[in-house]
Amino acid sequence: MNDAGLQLFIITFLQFAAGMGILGMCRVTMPRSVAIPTSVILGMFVHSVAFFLASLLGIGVSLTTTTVTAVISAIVVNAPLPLTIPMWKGLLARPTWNVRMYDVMAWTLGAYILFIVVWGTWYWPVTPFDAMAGIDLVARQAIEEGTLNNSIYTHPSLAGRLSNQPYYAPFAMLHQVMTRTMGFAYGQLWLAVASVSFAVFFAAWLRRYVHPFIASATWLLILITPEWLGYQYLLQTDFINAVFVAMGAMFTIEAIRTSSASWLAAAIVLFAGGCWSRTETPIIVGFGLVLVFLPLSKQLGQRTAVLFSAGTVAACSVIFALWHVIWFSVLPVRPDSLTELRIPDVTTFFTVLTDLFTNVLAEIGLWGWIFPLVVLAAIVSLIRHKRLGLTLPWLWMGAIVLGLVLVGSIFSSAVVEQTLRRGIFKLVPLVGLALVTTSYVQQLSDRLMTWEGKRR
Amino acid sequence: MSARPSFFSPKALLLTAALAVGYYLLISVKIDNVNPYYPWYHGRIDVYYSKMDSLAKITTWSERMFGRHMTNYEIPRFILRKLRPGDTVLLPPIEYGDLYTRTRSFWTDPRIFTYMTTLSPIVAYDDTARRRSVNTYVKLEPRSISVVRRGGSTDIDSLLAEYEDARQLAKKPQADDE
Repeated sequence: MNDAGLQLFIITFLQFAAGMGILGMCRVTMPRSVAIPTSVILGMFVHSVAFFLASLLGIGVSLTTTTVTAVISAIVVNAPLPLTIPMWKGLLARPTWNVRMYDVMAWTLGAYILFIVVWGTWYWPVTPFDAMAGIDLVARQAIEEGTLNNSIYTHPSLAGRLSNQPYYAPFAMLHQVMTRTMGFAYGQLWLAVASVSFAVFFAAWLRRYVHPFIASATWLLILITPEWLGYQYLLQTDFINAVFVAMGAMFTIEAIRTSSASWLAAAIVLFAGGCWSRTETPIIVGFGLVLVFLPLSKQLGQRTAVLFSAGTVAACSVIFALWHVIWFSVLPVRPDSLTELRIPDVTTFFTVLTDLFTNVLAEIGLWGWIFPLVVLAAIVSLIRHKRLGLTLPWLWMGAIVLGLVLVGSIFSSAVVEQTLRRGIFKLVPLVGLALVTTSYVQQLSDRLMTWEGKRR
Repeated sequence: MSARPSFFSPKALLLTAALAVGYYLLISVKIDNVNPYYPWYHGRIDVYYSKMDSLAKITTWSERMFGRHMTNYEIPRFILRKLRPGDTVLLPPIEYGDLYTRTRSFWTDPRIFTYMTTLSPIVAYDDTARRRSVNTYVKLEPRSISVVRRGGSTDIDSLLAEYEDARQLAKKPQADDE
């Protein structure tokens, strides 16, 4: 392993440690197969915020800053030892997974695909136009000048030429900077870390709901969704944002399903991560909070529902303001976002909604068969069992679609076939969850359990 | 209550085979507009595995940049190498670049030019406010690029007219469609 590889390994471990601390503080009990990847993703968020705060304090961009902020994040977050030590002890617990032959087959096929993700992020330079004209343009210059507040914003050759890309929510940009400080010429390796972590998380997550064979098949189907896989090695803000939002949604679903409020604390952090990675996320999270409020208060009590909603709004507001208010006030030039705003009307709303369904969601070249499949499973469930199954994933999917359509109606720069298309990534994992929790697939799962010789 | 199924059993073997066959069919059966996984797999996964050995021989970062961005990487770097102190280059409109390159000429966008090189004395074609400071131009020909200045062998006014013609030419089909 060369120096850059070793750096990445150490920093990723520190991020994982920070994530473990967060989960410990949330007092959430989860299996190791879920806790490890979740910790990496949470730790990446915490580390990027710490790195940003260092910049805000005037500390320059360097490998030392990357390393020291990672160390500080890991130590500070793990400081409440009575809360965090049990989380670490859980790592040493005896494995409870009953691995079957088809699990190994699914993991092998998945690993074969994920290897290309890792290789692609390492080998290929950044290619999406948006990234070259925005987040990575800022990141590259930050490395050159040693500061996030660099000449990209002020150089005469770019004056008046910058659109909103350099001002995107900073998660991806900050990780580009940090990964470049480790010695990777194109950054991007952080994307592979997030992709693999999410794939591991999702493989374990689906097994909580359904027979392992169905879980594995669904996991593979989601993994090979063409557009979803493409953006696991193409640098953009959307994949990582989808990871945060979808995981936050899944944790709220789990809290309601298992009547366990501790999941909600972790969900708040994940939603904050979503707002740190894509600007329109507060709108989507807002819709989600409204839609899940009733089931949440019914299952966990009104006080918990109110606390969760207030906590999410507060965390998302703070994290949103950190970049969009505080940092923008530091920058010499601010984006002129107000000119992109338009007053939404019913016609625009329905035009965007129709375009989203006909030009984006119906495109099997982008999403494979996942959308037709989940609709089919829902219809069969309704016909055969007179009930859908678990409705919570559908509520979250509704919130995401509503949020995206509203964004498309409000912002003139949000193009349905581009901006909203990538926003659909947030639906992809939730579609997998919705599919396996339909009553029909649940019935298949039960039959498979019986046939294979295990009762649930 | 649970009798744990073993790792290896006839039923597990059957399910494993079902998973493998299902996956194999998805990535192997070519049915246009029905099976999106076939073109996706061959375009995004299989192609990289089959070329990985030859791609691995390309070891320098700049060669990989060229491999991915082609002229969008090569042209800005060439222009930068040819600049003299005091030069300010007018980037041509994208339509002019497109007449001479197979890939879209994103390098004509000052952000992409900067990304491929570094912050440089460049002026975007439609930046009329800074146009006055320009003293250097880019001339493309079927197999060559040159950086030209007033007083040289190239008539700059004709070159600017070529830029404008390329723009108009690109607009024309749209106007006809309307």
